[in-house]
Amino acid sequence: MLHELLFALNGKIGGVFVQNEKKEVKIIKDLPFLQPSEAVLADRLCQLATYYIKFLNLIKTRTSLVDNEENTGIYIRSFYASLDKILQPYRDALVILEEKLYKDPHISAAAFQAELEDYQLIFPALSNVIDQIEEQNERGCQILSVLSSAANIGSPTIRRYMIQMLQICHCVFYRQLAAWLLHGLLIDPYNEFFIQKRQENEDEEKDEEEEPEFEERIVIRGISGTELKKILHTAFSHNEEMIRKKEYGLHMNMLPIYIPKRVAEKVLFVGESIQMFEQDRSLSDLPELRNILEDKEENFTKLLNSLAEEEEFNLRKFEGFVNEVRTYVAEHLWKLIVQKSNLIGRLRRIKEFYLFGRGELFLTFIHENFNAFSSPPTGSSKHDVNLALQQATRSVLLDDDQLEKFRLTIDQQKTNYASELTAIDELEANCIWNSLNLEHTVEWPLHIVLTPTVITRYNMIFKFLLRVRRVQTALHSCWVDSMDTKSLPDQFCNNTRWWLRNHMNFIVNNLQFYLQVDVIEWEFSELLEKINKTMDFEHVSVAHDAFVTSLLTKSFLLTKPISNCIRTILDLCLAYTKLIKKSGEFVTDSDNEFLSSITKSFERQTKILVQILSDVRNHGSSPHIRQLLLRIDYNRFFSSAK
Amino acid sequence: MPREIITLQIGQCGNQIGTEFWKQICAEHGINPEGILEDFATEGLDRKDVFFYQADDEHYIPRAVLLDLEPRVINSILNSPYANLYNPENVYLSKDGGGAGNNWAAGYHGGDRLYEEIFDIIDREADGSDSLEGFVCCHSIAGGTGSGMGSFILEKLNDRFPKKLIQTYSVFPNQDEISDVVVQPYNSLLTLKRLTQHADCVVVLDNTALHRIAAERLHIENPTFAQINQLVSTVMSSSTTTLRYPGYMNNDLISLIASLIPTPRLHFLMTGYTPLSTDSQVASIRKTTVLDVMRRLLQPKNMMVSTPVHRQPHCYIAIQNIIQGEVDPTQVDKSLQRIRERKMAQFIQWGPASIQVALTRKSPYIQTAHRVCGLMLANHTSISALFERCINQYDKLRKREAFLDQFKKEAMFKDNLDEFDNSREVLQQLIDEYKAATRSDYLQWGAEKQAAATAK
Repeated sequence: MLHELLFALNGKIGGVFVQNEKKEVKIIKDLPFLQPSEAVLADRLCQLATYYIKFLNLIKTRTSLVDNEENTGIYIRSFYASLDKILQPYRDALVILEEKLYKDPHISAAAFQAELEDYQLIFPALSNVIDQIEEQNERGCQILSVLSSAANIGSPTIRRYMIQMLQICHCVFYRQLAAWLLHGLLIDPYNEFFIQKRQENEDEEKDEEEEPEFEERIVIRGISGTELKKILHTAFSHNEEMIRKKEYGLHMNMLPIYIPKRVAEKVLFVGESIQMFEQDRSLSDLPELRNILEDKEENFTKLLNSLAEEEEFNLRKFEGFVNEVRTYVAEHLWKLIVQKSNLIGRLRRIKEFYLFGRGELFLTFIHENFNAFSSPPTGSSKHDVNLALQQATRSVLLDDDQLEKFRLTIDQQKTNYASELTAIDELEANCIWNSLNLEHTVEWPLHIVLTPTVITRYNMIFKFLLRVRRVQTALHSCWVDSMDTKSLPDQFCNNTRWWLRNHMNFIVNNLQFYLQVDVIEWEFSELLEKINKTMDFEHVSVAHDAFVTSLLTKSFLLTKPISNCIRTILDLCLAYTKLIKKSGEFVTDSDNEFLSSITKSFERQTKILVQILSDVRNHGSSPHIRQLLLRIDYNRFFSSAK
Repeated sequence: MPREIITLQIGQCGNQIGTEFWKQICAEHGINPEGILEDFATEGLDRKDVFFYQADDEHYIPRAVLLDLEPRVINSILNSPYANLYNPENVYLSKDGGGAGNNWAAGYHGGDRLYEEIFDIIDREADGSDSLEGFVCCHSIAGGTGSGMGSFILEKLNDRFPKKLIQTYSVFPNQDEISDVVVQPYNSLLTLKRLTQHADCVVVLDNTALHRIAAERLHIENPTFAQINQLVSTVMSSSTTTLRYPGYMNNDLISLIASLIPTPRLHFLMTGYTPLSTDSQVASIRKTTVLDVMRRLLQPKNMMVSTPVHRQPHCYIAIQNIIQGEVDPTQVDKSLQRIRERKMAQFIQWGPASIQVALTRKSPYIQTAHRVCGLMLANHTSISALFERCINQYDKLRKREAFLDQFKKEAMFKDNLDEFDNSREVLQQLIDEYKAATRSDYLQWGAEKQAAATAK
């Protein structure tokens, strides 16, 4: 009978011990040679058998090497493997009991009971954990979380078992971690790691959703300040999100509960950096940099192994390790990018070109080609614009090699200029000036900072600045024309054209001042300060991203109500200069009509602009809005106007 | 082709301040008196070609034309270490060397007589530049050559080079002392008419204020011409820094002056500069901030014009500050805000106006005690006070019919003195316009004037 029991405990049921419909193992009722008390004892032991059979079945299905639906994931497999492993003491106990049984046939069931009492505690706990995992379909690193919370228990025995399992499961975790931390590889066929490739469409969908809403709002001119602020606010936050879009991201569901987010982020950074670093490394001409971790790799592997061998997960040590790697990688990248590749020099160059730091270059460029590029692009335009840029570069005594990495291209798609004005004709909408794009060749390893997305953003600013500059040049040329009247004694300033040109010139000048000094110079000096203060690449990268974001935000390119207003004002200025150039001194009636319509629209638009700016300012949100307003409305001319 | 500027130095005063200007910018660009680039300056990114061109032998040669009717100043230049700097073909000295005798009419007709020769030089110089932006004339309005010949050249430049800018640095006579040039009011009046009608921008350098600054601020009892000219050359070189160094804005002359000059005739600018040399002790113990510089620029004691800047209802039409040195761009906005809060500058009511600030670097080759220095170019209605002073003095002389004989000798005044009356009218109109600009109904005023003029 006791042998029967041993078999049952080992998962093999027979005639005496049977499974009922609930899959519970029970001793068959009413055995004549069994005392009722013995039957109760046997039933109690049978509980262990019930659990054990359950465990065995699961272990068998879940650890089979064949991929099937029930077997998805390395973690689940290693979980059951660990389960298998910690059941070994139980099996050993059974063997001992059997030996005892042979030696002493009179041994009672109570001895079994005594030997296996521990497992009466452990098996239900294990079963709970399994149920939790199976029922909630926990997978990947979530299993680690479940185990670790199960280990958080008062009973030292259970705790020991859980920790043991956790340690085995951690092997997988540490292996993935090592691949990611040391080589930048994400070996994760079942998406179980807490770092995962981003799904591209997630963000895009969101974009599409928000877009039409904007368009709708712009139409409404008399919006209240609060509403406006709301729009601006969404525009800003929306954009932050866009900026930080990266290839990999944290998968919070998969993050084991005992690892804080800050540590996970560091892990993410290290892997990403190494990965970016490994990309296209063959293109580099810095031979000494074969691997980012170089000799440290071995060291880190050892450390990681010793961590894996730790019986219990130790956050302090783990974080210490991650920090060490992160600091090393960040500093190494900093050295590589900031020192060896001269990031600051490159940023200065970018500022000179994309951000018009070399004003005289673009002045010459615009001045010399003002009319030539006012026609729609043709096949040779790309060649022409680059030649013109090269000539301009030479004439301001810049070396050709400074231009080398920059190239102008022509946007193929037609700019959809849905202007509310008839003032902007087709020609202007599609002229070369408006389709210019500045390209920049970025080589390894600066591509980590200057990604194509970043360059696209720089281009948005470049186009805007180019437009402001071009309008300014056109207005100046009108100024020279109208200075001719100084020698005619009876010409006075009432001239509408003078008045209008003045106001336009004033707005455009101050806009330019604002952009160049309050935005670009300001932000750039902050960026340099940040880069110089740190030795950590991540800070540099974040600072640069923040720089580009600020540029876009502060130049209002992401704030549709304001940018539309500014665009319209610039359009009106161009329309004005075209009219003046065309008509010269002799103005026909139709020209006069056109002029007065420009005047009206211009007055309205400036009023709207100042109105929007002061509304937003009154809500005290963005200091840069106050700055632009200060410049435009310095003597309170616009704000006091009725 | 970077928007070249040709400098014309006319008459004694013009040549003196011109020479100082060239000395100053040669030093700033690291060019030695011989026109050769110093070794330490070969890597410079500065834009020397706006004011200089390179001869075949690598010499840097100023785009300058030196004109005078009498030899004294020009000869002294030709005997100075800078003798070889200039293109000798660009130095024109009247053959007879008699000078204009401090007579505007003599200077004017001298110019007429030498028209061909002078404009040969100017034309040649203009042809030598790829995209000439304009001319800068240095002269005084009180003497004979600078005022008379200067006036003549201004008229002709306008005809021959339409759409080219003409900026002048015009020295106004000292009102505090009795001038040895008795006909000074006549000369000034006649020149001011040309400056009003033919120049695009006149930077007024008021000798009264320059002497006052020398005496009160620099503690020089009897300032010499050289010391005064030093001040002038500082103003001239500072106002051209944005053109001479790479930067993000104000890269050409027009962008500098177009925003200052809203209507065609109100183109007389006053200047202020800080720190003036004796400030050095003070400057060394305090930190120079942008706000300090901008605030000091608005103080009358730092202005090179003796006009009642703070007297109501006078006000600023526009201000352009050029700040040189290492400054924190974040300070500009704060300074502008502070100045507005404290109402340190009164602006016009009839249009938008503001203080524009250009930040530019300092020459790396000149050691100065000051970390930051600033120049203010301002269009202020009180400049009309100078013109009023001139008209008053003219009226006094004219009433007595004093010294008119000298003028009557010349063709323009032989038959009548209409030119005087006409010039007075032009100047009076200018004063009226400046006064009108102090009021908020300036635009209506202009419209009425215009209507009246058309009705005539």
